[in-house]
Amino acid sequence: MDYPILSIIVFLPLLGALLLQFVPREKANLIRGIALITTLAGLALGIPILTDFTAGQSAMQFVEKQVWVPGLGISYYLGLDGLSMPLFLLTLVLTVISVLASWSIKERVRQYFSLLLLLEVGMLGTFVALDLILFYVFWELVLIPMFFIIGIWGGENRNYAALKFFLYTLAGSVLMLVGILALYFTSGLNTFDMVQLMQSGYKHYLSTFIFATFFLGFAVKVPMWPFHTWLPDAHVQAPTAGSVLLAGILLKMGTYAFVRIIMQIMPGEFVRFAPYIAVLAAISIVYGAYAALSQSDLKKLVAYSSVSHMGYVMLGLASLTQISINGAVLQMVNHGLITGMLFLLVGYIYERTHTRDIAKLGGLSIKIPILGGMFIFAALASLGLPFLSGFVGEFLVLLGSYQVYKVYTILGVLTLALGAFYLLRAVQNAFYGMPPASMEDFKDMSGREFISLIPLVALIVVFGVYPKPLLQYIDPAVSAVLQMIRGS
Amino acid sequence: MQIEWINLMPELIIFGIAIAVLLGEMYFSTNAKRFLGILSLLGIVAALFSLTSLYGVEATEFMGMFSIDLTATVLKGILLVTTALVVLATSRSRMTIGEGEFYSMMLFSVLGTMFMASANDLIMLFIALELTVLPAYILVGSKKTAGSAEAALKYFLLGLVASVILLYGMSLVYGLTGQTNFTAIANALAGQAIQPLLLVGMVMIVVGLGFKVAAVPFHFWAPDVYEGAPVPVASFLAVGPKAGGFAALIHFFPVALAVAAPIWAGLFAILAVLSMLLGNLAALAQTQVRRLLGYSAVAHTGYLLVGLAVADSFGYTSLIFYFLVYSLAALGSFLVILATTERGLGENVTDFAGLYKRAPMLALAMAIFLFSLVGIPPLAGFMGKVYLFSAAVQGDLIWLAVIGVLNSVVSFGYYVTVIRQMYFVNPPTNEGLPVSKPLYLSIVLIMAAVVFLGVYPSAFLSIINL
Repeated sequence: MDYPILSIIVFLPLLGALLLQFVPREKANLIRGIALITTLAGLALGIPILTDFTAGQSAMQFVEKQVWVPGLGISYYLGLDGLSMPLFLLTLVLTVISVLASWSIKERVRQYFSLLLLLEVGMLGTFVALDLILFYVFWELVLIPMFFIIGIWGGENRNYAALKFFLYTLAGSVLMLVGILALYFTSGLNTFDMVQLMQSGYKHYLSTFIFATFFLGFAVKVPMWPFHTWLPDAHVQAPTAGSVLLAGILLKMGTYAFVRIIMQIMPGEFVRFAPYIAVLAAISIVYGAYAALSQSDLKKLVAYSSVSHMGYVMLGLASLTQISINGAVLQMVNHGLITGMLFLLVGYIYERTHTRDIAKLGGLSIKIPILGGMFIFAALASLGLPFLSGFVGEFLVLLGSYQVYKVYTILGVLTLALGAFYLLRAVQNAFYGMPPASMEDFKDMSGREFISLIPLVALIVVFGVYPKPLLQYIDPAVSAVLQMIRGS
Repeated sequence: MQIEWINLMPELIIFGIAIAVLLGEMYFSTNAKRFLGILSLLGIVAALFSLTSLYGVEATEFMGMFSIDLTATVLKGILLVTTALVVLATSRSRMTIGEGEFYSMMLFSVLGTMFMASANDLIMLFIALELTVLPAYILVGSKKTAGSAEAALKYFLLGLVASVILLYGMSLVYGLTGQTNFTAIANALAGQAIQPLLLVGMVMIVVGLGFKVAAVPFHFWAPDVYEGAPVPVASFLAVGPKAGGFAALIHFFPVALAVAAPIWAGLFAILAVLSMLLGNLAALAQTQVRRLLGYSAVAHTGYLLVGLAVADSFGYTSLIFYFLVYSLAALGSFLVILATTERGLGENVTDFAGLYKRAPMLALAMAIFLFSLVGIPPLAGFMGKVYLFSAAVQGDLIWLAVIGVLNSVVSFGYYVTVIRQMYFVNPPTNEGLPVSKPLYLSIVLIMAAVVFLGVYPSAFLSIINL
């Protein structure tokens, strides 16, 4: 590749956002169109990434490296491997879908799409950055647009939710900065280059401190119990596209960072603390499911189910087996697709019914059969129906973790049943039966909404039936991670 | 005594312009007075040019009283650039006193600060300090209102007390060493045990200069002055005199009192923590924007003192870099307040409601400045914090870095109140807020600099060899 494809993809949305500033703000459709074209162009540029990516190569690909701040050894260093590539592409897909889902935004349209595009820059950058400071910059860059998206276009309680989201994530990540700096000065390499740090076999008496700062930053983002309390507020108050990206991408940034940074730079510490992480993961699984069980708000239910599903990812990582880590990475992608789809549907339904209270809904599959059918499909995928993608990831996680943490695995399996229960109960109450008499008639899905859902449905089915193409990228990268873990 | 006048060129130009502008105030017609601002601006630019020729020059003048070195030159550069932006921004403002008086007072204060940056002698330092603050007292009191007078009186009285304490501390140091020159003091102290009296003198100097930079617990004047002074003056105070205070700290302690380095470094670490904590906590309770920024200035003094607590050259250069990024953002936010108050907006946080609609550029600029003050990437404030906390971590002060970063989370708690009003709340009216061209230009320039230094900090860092 003789042109800097990753930089182009990462910064293309920034260009789009700048372009938007020259469009008169009344021309809402033109603004939406530019945003859509920008994200579609990004997706199109992602195709060569998929075709030119060499599966099975553990080294970074599409590497770009430039000195950025020479005084501190900070470099502009981008690259992809089997871990980040699927998440990178997932981001491209989900942002296109988010733009489509945001067509119904009517107020301050130009600001909204500018922020959405800016958010994409941060998300994409996080997955390709291979320099710790650069990573941190992208990681924090995500905060500002999301803060405004929740705070301006969110639900009733948006003010509180936006601030809580920002403060929690900021508090988690600032300590990480100290950790990064400590790593820099104690490694003796004078570099923030992640790849070099990974290979250096870093060990120092500050390791535990640095691990703690990273752990806190990432655990808030994932979020793991007990750092999860920002999530229900942010997810519920955010506008539809905000929830889709929060659940689909932002949470993955946390789990991705666990693998990329903690497991690869300080594998020794991760192994040492893995049993504790597994406890928190198990609590997240059970707690998230129980919390979801008691929700009457459809969106809150999906939000808490996210906590539970991310718990599986963390359990998979903490188990440290080839199968479970493969499953965890796969589950990151699948959860992004499935929960993204669920939030999308909840948003579409809410636009029609103006309520998300399950008790007030009913008979939606009669009123809006296509939309209802889609929701049932997504719910089935989420509860782990075989041949849909949610099954594969969680199955691999549990298969792998059983060898290490029998009790947690059994808890995880039992919680799957709980998940099936609350999802099916919600489906039953909201979609089956007769619609309440007070409910007016709605239009079923529009063409735009249909188009936004189709790629998700297709990917969920494909990865459910035949996950191998995805695993062939992930597996070699996982082997590389495990090699480092064993070497520690 | 041979004096290389060329080395004093920037100071001479500022001095000449200050006199010329003062005379212009007396003899020009009302119409011609409008050009006094432009004259001041040209003078500052000329001084900047002559300063660039001094880049890399190491020399001392006046028998070692006045030193020209990289630190001094860079601090003067920062000072002149920010002052030029203040002059540009206020060139169309309605002044509370004559234009000539305003600009000449400001230039005299700048002159004092420039001498402070180069002071290598206790006497020179004290005279320069007084030259810095005396015009500032006048400027603060230049609005004939009770608030302005109160602020000026408070500033004057507390400043006076600080000066006296500083002077007494200096006399103790002189009494022990028989020297006033920083290098000579260091030589006299070298190899000797630290005497208790020296510590007393040192603490008094810390207190005296602590007042000038508004470090807790010597910060009481700052919020009142920032709130009470006329807005153009407050924007100048946010950058000018503070630069002088830090220049003096960086020059005096590492050079003259090198033997007692661990002691004063510890003292600065304590002051840093107190300033960050109290500044931020007090700011949380503020509803008046300028008072809020006043406390935020106190908190930022705390961050800057981290560089001194580290007590090595990496710490000092990081301090200088942070000073630049801080003063840009602080100045920028004061200029936004200037722009809104000139259109009759109040100064409470709620008066910023819906600013995004009434003045999109001002709101964007303010948001960028505030996010930079929090230290969110990719803005300059972030890179400043990376360097400052790098210095702390390298100097085995990880705990200080931890306190620092946690404080920036707290600080978001009050900056967000302004951001929230600007973007989340609907404006009471949709009437636009036109801004005069020079002020607008100044704000946009600062905004560009804040973004640029965040993305490409090496542009400045290479100048200070970081």
